[in-house]
Amino acid sequence: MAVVAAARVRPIWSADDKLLFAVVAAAGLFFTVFLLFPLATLFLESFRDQRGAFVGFANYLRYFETPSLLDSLWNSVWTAVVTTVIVIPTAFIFAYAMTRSAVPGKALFRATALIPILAPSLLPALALIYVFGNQGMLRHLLFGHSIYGPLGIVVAQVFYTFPHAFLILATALSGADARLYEAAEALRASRLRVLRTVTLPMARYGMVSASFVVFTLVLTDFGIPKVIGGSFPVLATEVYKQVVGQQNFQMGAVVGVVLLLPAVIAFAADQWAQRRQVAVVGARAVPFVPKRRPLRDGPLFLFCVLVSALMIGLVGVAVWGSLVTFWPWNLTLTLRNYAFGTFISEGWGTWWTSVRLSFCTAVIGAPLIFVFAYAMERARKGAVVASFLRFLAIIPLAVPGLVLGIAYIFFFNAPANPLGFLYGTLTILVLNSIVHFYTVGHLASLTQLKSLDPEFESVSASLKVPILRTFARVILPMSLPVLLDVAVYLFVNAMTTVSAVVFLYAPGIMPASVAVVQMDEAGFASPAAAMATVILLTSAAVKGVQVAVDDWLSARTQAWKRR
Amino acid sequence: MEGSVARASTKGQACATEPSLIVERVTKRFGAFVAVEDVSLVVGRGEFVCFLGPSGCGKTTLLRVIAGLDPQDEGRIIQDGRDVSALPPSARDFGIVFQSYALFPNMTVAANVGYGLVSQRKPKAEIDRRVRELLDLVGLADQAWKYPAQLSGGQQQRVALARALALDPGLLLLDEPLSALDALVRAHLREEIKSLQRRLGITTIMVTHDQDEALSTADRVVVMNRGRIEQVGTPEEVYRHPRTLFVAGFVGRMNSLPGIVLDSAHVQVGAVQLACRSAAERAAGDAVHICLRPEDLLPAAPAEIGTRLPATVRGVEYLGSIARAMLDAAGLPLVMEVQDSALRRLALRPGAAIEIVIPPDRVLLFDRAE
Ligand SMILES: Nc1ncnc2c1ncn2[C@@H]1O[C@H](COP(=O)(O)OP(=O)(O)OP(=O)(O)O)[C@@H](O)[C@H]1O
Ligand SMILES: [Mg+2]
Repeated sequence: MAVVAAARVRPIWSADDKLLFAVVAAAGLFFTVFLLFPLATLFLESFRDQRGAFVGFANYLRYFETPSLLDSLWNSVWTAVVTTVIVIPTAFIFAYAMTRSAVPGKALFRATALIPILAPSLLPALALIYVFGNQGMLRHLLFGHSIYGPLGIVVAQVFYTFPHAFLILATALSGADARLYEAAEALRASRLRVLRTVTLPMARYGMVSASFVVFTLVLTDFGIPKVIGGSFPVLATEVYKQVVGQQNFQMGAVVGVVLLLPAVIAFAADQWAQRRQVAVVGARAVPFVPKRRPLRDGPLFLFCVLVSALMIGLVGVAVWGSLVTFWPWNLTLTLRNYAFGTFISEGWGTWWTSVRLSFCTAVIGAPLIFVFAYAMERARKGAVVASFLRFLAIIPLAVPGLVLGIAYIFFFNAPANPLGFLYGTLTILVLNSIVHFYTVGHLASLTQLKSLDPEFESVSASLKVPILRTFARVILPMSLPVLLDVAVYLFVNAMTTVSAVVFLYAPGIMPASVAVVQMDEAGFASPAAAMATVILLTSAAVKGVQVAVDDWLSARTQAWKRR
Repeated sequence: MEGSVARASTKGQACATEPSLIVERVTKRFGAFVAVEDVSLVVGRGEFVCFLGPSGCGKTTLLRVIAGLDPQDEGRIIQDGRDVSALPPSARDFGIVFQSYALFPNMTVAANVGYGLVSQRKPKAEIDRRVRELLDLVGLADQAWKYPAQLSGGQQQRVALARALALDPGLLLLDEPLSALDALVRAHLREEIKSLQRRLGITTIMVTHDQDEALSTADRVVVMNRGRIEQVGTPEEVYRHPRTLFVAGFVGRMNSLPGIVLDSAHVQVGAVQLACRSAAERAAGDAVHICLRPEDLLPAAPAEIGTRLPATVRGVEYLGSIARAMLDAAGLPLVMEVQDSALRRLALRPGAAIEIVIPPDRVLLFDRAE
């Protein structure tokens, strides 16, 4: 054969290639403008003085020379560690009971354990104040200790982070392979030994992952220390004080960067743990069905009852408190605390703002995230760009809401920014929420897309059907449950979040969760609890709608799923 | 282009009819890994070609290059005289069936088959007529309203086939279309595919790693190994006259022993001298692999001509219509295949002593590096 080289080929782009690449490019633009630029601005600001001159590490030096600021860093870290140490074993036992035992009423326990996710983190803090606060009925149980401060923060955080830890651990434990247990049983291993040699190692990475998630949540949560922290300074309240209270934006930027560091470290460690987790569960694992065993199930059942009672009790106290006339002196029931207009100028308008914010975040965010994930996954051209975007898409998980909020102030409030008109609008709150909660939706979308046959698009191309049509007729209908999941996740989170939006709202568009903080700060604890209850009910209602729609969807699609 | 066709034919790769598809010096890399290396091939109109080779040899990759799904790095693809090398799949003319079938689970059989027709903006009545015609063709007319999950594997495969044929493509590409089915359905369906292909006269390329499938369905077999084509030929050619040791060993069963060419008519294997016709093409002293098909070892009979060897039966594998006997023939480990009738006549059982004949024209020789 001739020695000359064969001709190189430059493939022509089809209309589908162009479309997918355009979507990838749009995703790139989105991330650049709404994630990278704000974070970069935050970094730059932390090296500048008030007038914008570059000052190197001067701000950081000042930070480390200010004892109150350093204290807040230390306080944040140790409360986070203590919370983690309490939550992980508790959540582990609870998850163990749900996945590895035959306790009755699992569905009810599970639902109860997830309640805190539907409420703002402030709700448990408010409830604790009712019970143990200055006017609390059980105050004497604390033997002179005050609930305002580390004690209250840790207890409220335990409550607030419990469901997150539980979900991760339950997933890790339910991935168990029954064959391992059968093997252990056949070898006559004692039950304790099975726990030590089979169960714990399998859940190990789940525990690492859950620990980091809890640690990060506590470290970056703003609502709880704000309400119950008293004069105990932590990073999150400190950054708020610097930026909103003292208008010291430079120091705010420094604290933001400081806050970002542990979160990023925890995030990297968590990614590592998750990668390990995948390797543990074999593809052909046989699901484990626990047998009845009274000696194990009895104590576990009592434990679950206790945890659930505490959950319901705490939520119940908050709801009750919101319904009484004057806690704890006059316990006659009233709806006066729900007349929010009496306590805050925007009144029920804040709830409406939150509903609009959450609705837009869900309805715009879920399709956007899914379409972006689809393009990143299926684009035939620009593979390098797409894989870089897949990396960018998981970054928001590591960025605390507070940091994102401050970053948005710096970026969008800059006079030179042509996008400055967004500042102080509902639009920026929506964009901020979408970015803040992007990663979970992205990962859910990716998992769904990976479960679809990658040749659907190849077949369509061979049949000369435009990819848009295949997306609409095949990919989308098959992914509706996941899309709905993502939308509800976004809705609930946008409804309950405080940390990012607290920096970005403007008069006329104050979200309900911020209103809780504001009313509590103004001394209206019961109306604050009332608003938190309204938020909880709204999230729960949306969750209920999801269940109903899911049922309807699966009834409709039964024909092509069942044999 | 003309030149390459001429060149290809001189190398014995010619097809009987005018070319429908020309693959010219195609190379495909994944990073530093070369999945398909400098492959050239001509497929005639209406021809049924099988890509045969071990797992990972690049069969699927070559098929996807031809479809434009994974464009080649170098080389040209010419279909019906049109250079389609740079075109995206949607601008080419082919139908494809994947190993997974990739049927749309949320659409009925009829909607799956009509999927490509609907976007051609044809009138509804015409689409319905065509869908019915296609379903008749694959024998699924009564299943039109079912969903893929409600069909058997074989039925799903036929739906995928009907869908691939919907737009009357000039080229049908099949990537291991039968590998997900059990043996019986498989043998049945491969005959159906073959007869359908003959009826429609459509140029077809099928990827498989099953040699029976390739030999029984293909007009020509393309044997691939490590991203390269080892041999192209009719099933009989690649079976009877393998051009390389790889083809000899991969297609069908083969006794393969190292030896040395003695003279123009004999080779030496172990302590045995075998009469061998193809020794004439080699120099004495050449190191060679000596290959013998199991069915070419014959039980000795007065009329047979060839090297006679005494042999002891070490074991017998009974396979129904034929049986396979493991022999120790004058120190050579050989496998012989005989008809069931011969098995009974010779009373082949472990320990039996027989005599076998090796015809000189059946002994294949391949280069052996020392
Ligand atoms: N997208 C890809 N990226 C990297 N390597 C690939 C890719 N696709 C295929 N390969 C490699 O190219 C080689 C040929 O793959 P190909 O799928 O063509 O094999 P095959 O002959 O079809 O094998 P099988 O019979 O197992 O399907 C393999 O070594 C494979 O690992
Ligand atoms: Mg393959």
